[in-house]
Amino acid sequence: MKASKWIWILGICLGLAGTVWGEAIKNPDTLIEAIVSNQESLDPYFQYDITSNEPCKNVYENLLAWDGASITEYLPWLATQVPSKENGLISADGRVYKFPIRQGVKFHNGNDLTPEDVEYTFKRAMIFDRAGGPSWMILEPLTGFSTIEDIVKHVAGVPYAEMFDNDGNLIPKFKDHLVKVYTDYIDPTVKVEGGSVVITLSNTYAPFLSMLPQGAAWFSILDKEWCLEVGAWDGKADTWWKYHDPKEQKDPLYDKMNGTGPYKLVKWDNGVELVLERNENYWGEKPKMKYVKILTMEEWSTRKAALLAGDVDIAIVDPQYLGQVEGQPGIRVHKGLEQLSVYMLFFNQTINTEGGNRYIGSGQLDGEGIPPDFFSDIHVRKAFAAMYDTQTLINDVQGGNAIPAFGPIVKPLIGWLPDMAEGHRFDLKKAEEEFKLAFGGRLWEKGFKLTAAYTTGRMVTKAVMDMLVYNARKINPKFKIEVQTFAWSTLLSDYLKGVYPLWGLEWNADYPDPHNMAYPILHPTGFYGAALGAAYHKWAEQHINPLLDQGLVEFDLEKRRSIYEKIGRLAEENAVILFLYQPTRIHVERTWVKGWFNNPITESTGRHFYLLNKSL
Amino acid sequence: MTAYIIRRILLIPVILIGVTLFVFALMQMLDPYQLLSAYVSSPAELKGQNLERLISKYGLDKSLPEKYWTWTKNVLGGDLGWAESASMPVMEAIKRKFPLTFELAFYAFFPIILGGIWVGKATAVKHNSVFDHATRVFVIMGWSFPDFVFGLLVILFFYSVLGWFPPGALSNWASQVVESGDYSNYTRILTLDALLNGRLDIFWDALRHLIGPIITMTYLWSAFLIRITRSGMLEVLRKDYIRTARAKGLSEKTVINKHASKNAMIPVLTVSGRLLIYMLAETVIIETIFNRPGMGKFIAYAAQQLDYPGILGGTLFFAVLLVLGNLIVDILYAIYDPRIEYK
Repeated sequence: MKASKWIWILGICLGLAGTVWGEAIKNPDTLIEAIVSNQESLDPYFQYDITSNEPCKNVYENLLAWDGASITEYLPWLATQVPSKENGLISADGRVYKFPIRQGVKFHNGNDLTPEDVEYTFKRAMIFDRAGGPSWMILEPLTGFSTIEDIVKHVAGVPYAEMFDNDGNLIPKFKDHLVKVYTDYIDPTVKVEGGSVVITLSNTYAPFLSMLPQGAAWFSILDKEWCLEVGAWDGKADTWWKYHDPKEQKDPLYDKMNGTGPYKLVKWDNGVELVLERNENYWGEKPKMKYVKILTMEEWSTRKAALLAGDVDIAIVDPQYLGQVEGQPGIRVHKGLEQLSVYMLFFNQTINTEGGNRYIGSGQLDGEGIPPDFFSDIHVRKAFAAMYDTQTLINDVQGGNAIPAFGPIVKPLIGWLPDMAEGHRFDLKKAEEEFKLAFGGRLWEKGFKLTAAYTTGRMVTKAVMDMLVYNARKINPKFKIEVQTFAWSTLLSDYLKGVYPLWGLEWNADYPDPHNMAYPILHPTGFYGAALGAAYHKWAEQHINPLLDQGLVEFDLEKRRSIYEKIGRLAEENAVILFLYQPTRIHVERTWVKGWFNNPITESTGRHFYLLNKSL
Repeated sequence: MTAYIIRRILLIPVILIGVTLFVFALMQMLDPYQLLSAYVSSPAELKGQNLERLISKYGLDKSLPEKYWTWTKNVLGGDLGWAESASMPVMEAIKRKFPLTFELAFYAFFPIILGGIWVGKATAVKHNSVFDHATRVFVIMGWSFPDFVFGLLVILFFYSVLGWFPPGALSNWASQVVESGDYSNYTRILTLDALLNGRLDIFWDALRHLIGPIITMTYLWSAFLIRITRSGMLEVLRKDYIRTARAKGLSEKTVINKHASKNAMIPVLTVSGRLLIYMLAETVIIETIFNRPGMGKFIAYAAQQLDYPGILGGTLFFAVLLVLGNLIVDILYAIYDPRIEYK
């Protein structure tokens, strides 16, 4: 008995000692971040996810950078000037951009940065164009095509895949076509002129500059000489297809890095940790932390314990867990910060019924299902929108970590609708009136039954759907919505087949321009727009597409604002999508971490460790 | 006996084909768009809009026999494929991750076996005593606790409250040493490499990171073993030959250790031999909770991502271990109990 008492006393003393020791900075030369997933690749032109982007943006650098927290003001970075029409570095028609390249910058292996590196980088990005990767962001403005395979088909009239035999060898008769694709479409877009690089766009593309700054790893600069050494594309017109769309294990840059950035890669044990070390020869001010360690810790309890113990300096915290760390000693929580993403519920106006559809019941307006064109009736969509109580969701479900979203364009982008954001959609009386108008009154009489889909784990989307279920029944007991959860794999599959009548997903911007939100969400060929059904496409071609085209070529800020506001209002007033909310960013760190600030776009792709240090 | 062993060895490929075919068939129930989720893990990655290209590139639209044939051909050539979820070849993932899992299972095995057998025997001998009742409560609790709950409680108490046993595999300072050029990773078993490098500080650090998962596994599995040993021992202690041994005037110690234990240990041996294999399987949960980058965590992540080369490679690996483990247990069983014959 006595012995066990002493063991307890010893335990408590050691525990207290641990607490006291915890007040000193742990691992003072290393910044440790705990994240939740694996890096896919370390090639900045292969990766297209936050986890992989984070090391890339700390090792590689771009031509420009954002000025602090701004998403409209640029700083020159590897370029020495920010192009504008005023300084003559953007042509009058907005198609030609000139970037003077900084001298005296060295890659981690000691090679000098040259304009040829920039030229090689962008051309490689275009020929590399891995399926599902980020190259479309370069191809689209520079060539007018989303993929190089589209250019091939345009030039040769034959799909790219059909140009190769079963062993993957190019059928000789297609060689000239492929060479032509390079010489006529890729090569002319980027040229070296003295100490500068000149980029020529296929058409005026107003968002182009906003795609380039530091943070977007897919515009970061590679070392041409090193790339050739490690076996990446040799820069020739008649070989490019051998380096196009490789699997990651065939990509020489998948596990190697050599940038000009403040940190260099020391170790990558994927799914375990990635270690960066300070670049002592960095051309700018040296980073303060000697090492950065990115740890993968999927399990929240473990992540939390390590953060509270001080073994982790920064941790990913989901909103539902925020209460567990907020107010804890040694922990600082930043919240309510802007980020460019929007959560939505989509109405499919022409539901696919080929081979049957279990989500629309009987498939008719008989109270036991819905017809495939159910959501093409604007009154139905407006009624659904009026059943959604934004404020309750934000306050009670999201814990205040969101702001209302009206239209596809979020705060603080131009085109965001602050006047609408102050208003409310929620009005059950209005919902009832709209339902009574739908389908000439037959809907009110017969009722409906449908299944709404959300991804497993997305409890906020589920809460929205539960809200709709409850309010619909309250308005008319014949209105039945079943809420079903699906694994991401199933949701992805059924969504692509167009079988869901109503489903929830989110969108995160790649670059801070309203085009990057409005186009994928609303354009009939955009990722989400394409899934809204033929009836929507017909409407969008008439009302949305002309405005999107105008917005893409308009440089004048006020004119662009007006265009995108029109787009937002059209989407909102016609309730083509139910825009749920814009989540606000949460950043949780130990109080000894200094220097972090929120940039709405760059923080979406991971931390920029260059700015951070640890001190009491 | 020899014929039996040869027969069992010859059966191994059949079992492995069966296991992998079963997993393959299960995967085949998913359509190519579902399998696509291994390459597109969230809506944010769908912007490239080249989904059909992705399906064709990774052969997700191929038929089951076609996929199985390609996979088998590669496996026979020593290539288990590419684990998308770990971004490395499956073989490489196994090479890197298995030593950590083995290390955990190895260290946990001894306290489980020794503690389980000793306590199990003691409770049977002191049947219906306070010690026996207390142990039974302990066993029921251990057997009822879900491993992930008990693991989290261990982290909460020993790490969050006391700060003793952190999750992960090594502290930051120790991993810097291990990654340095002056340190050799001979086996990738952290404690063994630390000793081979003459670094007791790293040995202790690696051990400190092992204790949390060891406590969790020891409690849960020793509870199981105590139960088996106790009931085996109780059964034997009621046998006539034990009564005879006592009647002959043998000391209680001799009766228990020499006459009762040996026979009571036969079911224990069967369970213990397979325990190591079960423990390896349990690491899927334990390694995820304690953030140990071993095989268990690898397979758990592969399954979440529907990464079928990762799942198949991991399954194949564990299946080989299980088959070999069972074979060894059967052989030991025959050696321990000469009455057993294999036909």
